[in-house]
Amino acid sequence: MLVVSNLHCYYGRIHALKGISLHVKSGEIVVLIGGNGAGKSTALKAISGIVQAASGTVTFNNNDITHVSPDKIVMAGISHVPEGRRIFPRLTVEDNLLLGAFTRRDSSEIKKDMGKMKELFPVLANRSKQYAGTLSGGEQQMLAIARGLMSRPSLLLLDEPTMGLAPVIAQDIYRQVIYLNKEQGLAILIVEQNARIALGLAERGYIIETGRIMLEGNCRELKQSNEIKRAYLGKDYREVWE
Amino acid sequence: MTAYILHVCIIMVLFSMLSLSLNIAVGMTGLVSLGHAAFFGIGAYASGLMMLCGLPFEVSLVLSGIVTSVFGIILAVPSLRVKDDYLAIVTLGFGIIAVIILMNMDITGGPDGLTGIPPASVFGVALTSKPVYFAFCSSILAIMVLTTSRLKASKVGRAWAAIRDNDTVAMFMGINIYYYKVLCIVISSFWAGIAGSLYAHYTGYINPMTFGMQTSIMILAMVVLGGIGSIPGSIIGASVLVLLPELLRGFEAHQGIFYGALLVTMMVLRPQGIMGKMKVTDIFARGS
Repeated sequence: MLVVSNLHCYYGRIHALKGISLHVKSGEIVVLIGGNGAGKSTALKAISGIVQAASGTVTFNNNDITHVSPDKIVMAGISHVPEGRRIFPRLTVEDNLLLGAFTRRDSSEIKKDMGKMKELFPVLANRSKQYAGTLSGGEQQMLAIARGLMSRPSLLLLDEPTMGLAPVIAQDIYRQVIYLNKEQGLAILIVEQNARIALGLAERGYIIETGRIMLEGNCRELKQSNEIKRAYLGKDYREVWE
Repeated sequence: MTAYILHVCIIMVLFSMLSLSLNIAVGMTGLVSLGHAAFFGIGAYASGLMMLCGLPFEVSLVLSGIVTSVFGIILAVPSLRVKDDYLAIVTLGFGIIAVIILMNMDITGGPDGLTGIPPASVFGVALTSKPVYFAFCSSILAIMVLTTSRLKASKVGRAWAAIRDNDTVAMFMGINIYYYKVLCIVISSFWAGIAGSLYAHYTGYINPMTFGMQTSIMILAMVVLGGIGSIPGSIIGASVLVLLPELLRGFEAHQGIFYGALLVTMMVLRPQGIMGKMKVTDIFARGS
């Protein structure tokens, strides 16, 4: 459903993406793994139109969306949950959710979806009128995901959804992510630094380093690759450092 | 005495319009403007000139709002590419340029200003008496308060609030932030233009100095004092800053000192303003 081919992006003079190609099939969880500054977030931003691509193409359901504005991309069915839990802190939980549905016009359906979000994330249920900035980190992340779902996407882009969260809460969040994928058939592209979690979660993965895709494949295979073990999972750690 | 009180009341209502219209930009959308008085002036001159050309008051009142909006778009389209403190500087420049143009054009009467602007009259009824004009201005302020609070609670208001909180994330939500920022300036400048028109037909005489930086900063002070983003706050802020110099008249030479000291004290004790929930730094120091 999503095909990115040979995508190049620049931040001023910095060449952030040097020809990225990847794809996501419908109903699939795909993970993009890489260290700081590898270009993971930029890749997501280029897909959702926040960052302009210098060359290459992004197609979604066979439509070219490379130079389409971000609002049209949301309407096409791609929702981007930005990294760092960027909720609107001085707006209420309810307003945050309504903003997620900004591109929709079916107000009665929006109301129903608000109810669904509260079922999906019970911590949000009694907090409609509370300012989002007063929620805890984990709750804010759940709100950010719920807000992302309010546009009724068919593809969800998740940028480091568990960054800085306690492992228990991270597990909680990934349980919901898997539920959304399995029960609702939502395709999900996740960016993650934690390779162990990421490879356990997804069907396929891409390893990105300094703006290039270094490796790609089935997550089971990726986990076995020596290169991954060394760079991301800590193989030979003892031998080298102790 | 009644005439004097009514005069102060009319000025209070006009400045309430200005501070509310600026609050739409500053408080609801996070677009800080240091040149709002220029819109006030454009509305005043546009309306004055139109009536001097023989247009009826009803027409020139509405048209002056529209003309001011057009100037708002001319300012917004290039300048909304920058934000926060940079936008403040751009609008400051706009305010200065506007005064210089008004001061140097023949049609606006140069530094002498426009004189002999006919008073307002609606459907043949002259609004020359102060109580009637006060009632008229108040009802327009009421319309403005109603439409603004409706807007604030609507989808447009939510988009503005999202842009104010974090305009990058607003883009993630599928909000066309450029469109909503321009819309905000159009509405804000429309109401400032209406206030300008009402002012011009009230005093009958306008000159460029009324619409300079000092007035812009005064309007911004009303917004901050009343409460950033608060509709009743805008009216309270404007009323306090119009009333205060009048009440302090008894102190004669020391009036300015008391006025300044009161402002400083209020901002120290209540930095979010009388009715507001946000501080000025919340508008400027946003993460992106």
